[in-house]
Amino acid sequence: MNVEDQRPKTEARKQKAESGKLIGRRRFLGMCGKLALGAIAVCVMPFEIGFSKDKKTGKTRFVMKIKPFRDSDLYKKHNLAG
Amino acid sequence: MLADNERGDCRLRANFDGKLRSLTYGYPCSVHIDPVEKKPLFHFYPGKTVLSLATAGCNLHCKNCQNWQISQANPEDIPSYKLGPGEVINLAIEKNCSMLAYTYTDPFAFYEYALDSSRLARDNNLKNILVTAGYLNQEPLKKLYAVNDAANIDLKFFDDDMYKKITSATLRPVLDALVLAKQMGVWVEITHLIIPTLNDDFTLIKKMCVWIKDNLGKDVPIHFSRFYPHYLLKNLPPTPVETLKRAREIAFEVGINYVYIGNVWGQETENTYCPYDGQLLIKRVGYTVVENNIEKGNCKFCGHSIAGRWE
Repeated sequence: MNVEDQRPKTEARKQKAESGKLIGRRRFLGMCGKLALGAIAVCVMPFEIGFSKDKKTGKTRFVMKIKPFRDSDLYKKHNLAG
Repeated sequence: MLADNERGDCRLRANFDGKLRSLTYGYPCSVHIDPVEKKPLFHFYPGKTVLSLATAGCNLHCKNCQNWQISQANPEDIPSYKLGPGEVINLAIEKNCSMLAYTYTDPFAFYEYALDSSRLARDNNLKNILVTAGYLNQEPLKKLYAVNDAANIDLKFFDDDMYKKITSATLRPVLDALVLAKQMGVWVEITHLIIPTLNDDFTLIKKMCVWIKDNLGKDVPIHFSRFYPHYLLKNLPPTPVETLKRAREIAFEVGINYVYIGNVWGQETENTYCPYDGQLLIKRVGYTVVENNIEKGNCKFCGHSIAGRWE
C-alpha cells in the first residue's frame, strides 16, 4: 500500500485534478478491460427471455434460449439434411 | 388430448391454460442459404439459392434422423433466433433469395409459422418449398400446399410396419400427401433413403416405383439417397453404391423418367438426361450446376418438354 492511498479521498482527488489526471492509468485500463469483457459477454452469450408465465404463481413455465442473428450464420457450412 | 402444461409428441406444441400453443413460432433454430439442389430439388429453378429455415422439434421420430440434434430436441434446449415471418421475408429479399424452404425438421410440426411465412412470401413474389415427410391430415395440408410451389417429400418405406417401427408414422397419409400435392399443382420430387436390411428389398422398391408411376406419373423425379449411420441406427453400414444403382435401374425399367442417386458425390447419377434422346441436360457437381441445356423448359437438342419449373 502506498502513501497516497492512506490520505483522505478528497485530498487525493484534489491532487490528481491539479496534476491534470482524474484517475490513474492502471485504473483507467482496468475499467476499459471490464467494459470490453461485458460487451463480449452480451454479444456472444445466448441470453434467455421469458415466453410464458403462470397466471397464478407468476413463475415462468417456458423459456427460449435466444441467440443473436448474424449474417455470417447464413453461409456457415452445415451438415443438416434437407 | 394434452393435459394442462403437457407437451405434444413433437415437443413444440403445448397446452398452456387450455390453449394449444406452438412454442417455436418465430423462433427458428437453423437459418441458412442453400442451393435448391440441396433440398433436393433438381427440376425446380436449378442453380437458385434458397433461404432455408427450421425450428426445433418434429412430428416424426426417425431412428436414422440425420438432423436429430434439432429434430428430437426440446425447443428450450437449443438456442434459436427471434425471426417472425416478416423478418424472414425481409431477410430473403435482402440476400437475393427468390425462394424460401421450410426444411431440416418437418415443416408440418412448425405448421403455423411455415404457413404464415409462406403466405407472406407469396405476397412478395417469393417461391415456397416444403421439405417434408408428408405426414399430415388432408385439410391442413390443403392450406399449406395452396401457398407452396414445390415439395420434396420423403417416401421413407413402402411398408407400413417398417414405417411405424422406424419413423413412428404410417404409410397411407404419406401416399395421400403425395397425390394431393400433385393434384394441387405443387411441383413434387420424392426422396427415398435406402437403408441396408430395412428397405433395400428390390421387390418392394419396384412396387414403390410402380405406385409412383401409376399415381403421380412418370415425370416425378425420384432421389434414391445413400444412408449413413446416424442417431439410433449407427449399427448399420452405409448403403452400398451398387444397391443404389440397381434401385435406379429398376425405376428406369418401370418407366420413371428422372431418377437420381443422392449422398454419393462425383457420379453421373446426379445429372439430368433427356428421356427422349438421352442427351445431357443438366450437369451437376455436388450441388453446383455446371451445365444447363434446358431452354424455356425444353431439351436444347430435341425440343421435347422437360418436366419441372424452369426460368
